Amino acid sequence: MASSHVVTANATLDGAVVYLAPDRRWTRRFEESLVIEDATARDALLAWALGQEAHVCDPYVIEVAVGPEGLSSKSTRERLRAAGRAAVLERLGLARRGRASVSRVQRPRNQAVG
Amino acid sequence: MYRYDELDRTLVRERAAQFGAQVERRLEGDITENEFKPLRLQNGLYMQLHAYMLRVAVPYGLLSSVQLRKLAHIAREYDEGYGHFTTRQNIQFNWPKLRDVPKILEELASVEMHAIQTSGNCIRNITADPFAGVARDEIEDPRPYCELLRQWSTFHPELAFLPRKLKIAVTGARADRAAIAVHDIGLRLVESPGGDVGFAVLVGGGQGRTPALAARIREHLPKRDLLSFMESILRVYNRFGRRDNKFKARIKILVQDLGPERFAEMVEEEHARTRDSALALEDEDIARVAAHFTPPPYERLGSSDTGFQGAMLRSDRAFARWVAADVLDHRQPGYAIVQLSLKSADLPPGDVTAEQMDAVAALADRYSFGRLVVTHRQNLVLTDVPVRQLRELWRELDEIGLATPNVGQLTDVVACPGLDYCNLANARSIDVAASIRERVDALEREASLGPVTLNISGCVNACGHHHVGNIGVLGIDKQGVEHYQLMLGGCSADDATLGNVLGAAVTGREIGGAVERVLRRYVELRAFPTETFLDTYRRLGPGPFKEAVYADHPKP
Repeated sequence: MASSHVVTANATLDGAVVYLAPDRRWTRRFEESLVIEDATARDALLAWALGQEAHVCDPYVIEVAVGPEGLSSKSTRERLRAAGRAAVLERLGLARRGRASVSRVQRPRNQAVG
Repeated sequence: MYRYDELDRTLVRERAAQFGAQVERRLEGDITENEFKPLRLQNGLYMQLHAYMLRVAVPYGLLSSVQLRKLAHIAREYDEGYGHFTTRQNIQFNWPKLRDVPKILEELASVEMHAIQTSGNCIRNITADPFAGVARDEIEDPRPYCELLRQWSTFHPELAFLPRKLKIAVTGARADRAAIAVHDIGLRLVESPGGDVGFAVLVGGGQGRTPALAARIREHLPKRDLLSFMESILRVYNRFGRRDNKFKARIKILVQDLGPERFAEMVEEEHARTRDSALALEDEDIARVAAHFTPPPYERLGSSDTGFQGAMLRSDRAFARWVAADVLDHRQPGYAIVQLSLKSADLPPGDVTAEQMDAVAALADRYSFGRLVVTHRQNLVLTDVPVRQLRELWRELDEIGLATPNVGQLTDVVACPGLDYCNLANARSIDVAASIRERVDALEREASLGPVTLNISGCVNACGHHHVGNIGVLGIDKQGVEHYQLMLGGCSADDATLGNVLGAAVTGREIGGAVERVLRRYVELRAFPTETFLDTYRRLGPGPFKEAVYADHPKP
């Protein structure tokens, strides 16, 4: 079975993960990516993306799968990239709202032990 | 601590302005990413998985409260409200916007900080014993020499494009707390039988994909010759180090290829030409810099000030646990060294929120002469705390989540940012640190595991120093799935050793259980309750631990 691909990069402005969308714009939403089935088209789009350096850094192609659940990346690295900044901060307990409870109103832990 | 002179101030301000212009050109599309990349890297700006990352230098880990407040401000205003302290005693911000970076550099310059040479093939931040200046076993304070090396190596034209990056660690104490054996160059202040203090010079250590322990190439280098000898080492490296293969370009490969004896000969030949150059350090040169590192105005505290271990410790077990784990003896009577664990269960290892930074800055002002130190085990240190104020300080640290009594214990995990942030990583480190912690927390309490270090890296580049953890964990990618390799027996102290791979890698789901089984086997096998994990491993070898991990849990 032929592989499906998506072109991805990081935005020059803030480094955010971006994907090439069907209308040749860059989107931050993985699910809006243009899924490329054809190797020639893939190479042409990557070449175009490499010329977009004012907007994006180091574009490259990733392998994806299209299933009943929608689009998914095949590697852990790309799944983590697609999940995005908010997911990282949330999972690591670093989202601003969650963290305030750690640093400001957290119950002192050690003093309760003694 | 060292204060900038006019030259330093001009240099960092001009550098920030220069980078501002480069960023403008990049944003206008006048220069490509390929053209911009070396410029941003020279200013500590990386591109990571989700965002840019700015690495700020903390020379030899020493910070003032004013600088820490500025870091808190940067975290709050330009980032996501936290920073990450690294194993090079630096701090990283994980989410800056490109347009903001020149402003951040200006803010840093205003408090005598910068991000210069925190990336690229140059001499990186020089690390030191975190207890420099206050350790009881210190022969001489290493920080003046770190500062002299920093000044010598900053923007040195011969050192701007080395074959690869080069890392230096310096210690002035009898016990090595700076991991000098696993640095490209390790320097140790030593005393000759006649009482002269000079440097033992080690070269060719390192971690990464080809871990190696450094070889000693000089037993006792006079202080006068420090810079000329270092320049000689770097000249040999510059001339003969490999530039054809990135993976063979570190100085350790050159030392191995030539052999330490031949390498030393070549350095000595070069040094014969440079020894009496302008690089010779005269006593007044050293004194000029050492004057920045004089002890703070300690109070003369009587013996009653050190008698706190009595009723207070007996009546408060939680306080006693913290003192036992996180507080160390100071060389000044009536004072203590207080380590602030950045390894609570609430945040990733080494991470500190802006609120915590502000609070620690206030505590440093109130209790420790406004100074603190970042350690290469990703903790902080208040170096000069009056013993009589320890309990008060402990209560305040506990309020902000920085009094976890675990420094030097298993849950004091060192971990790189891993695949949550890093472009080079193969696997996540932070989640693994949390899952191991969850598995071993109860065991730690019930069995008193004693001192044992756990280091986790998300790839072979070894930013988490997994090769020298008593227990090391290395993240690898197996057909797109994160796996973890367990290594045992590493140590970065005086008896430095590199850890040995125990067996086949396991999945992220399995690694916590594997570490727990290693530790349970250790508890069964230790010869006496205080025999450390490392000593038990060295006595018995990997056999029993391998059996514990794999015998009943064969890989499919």
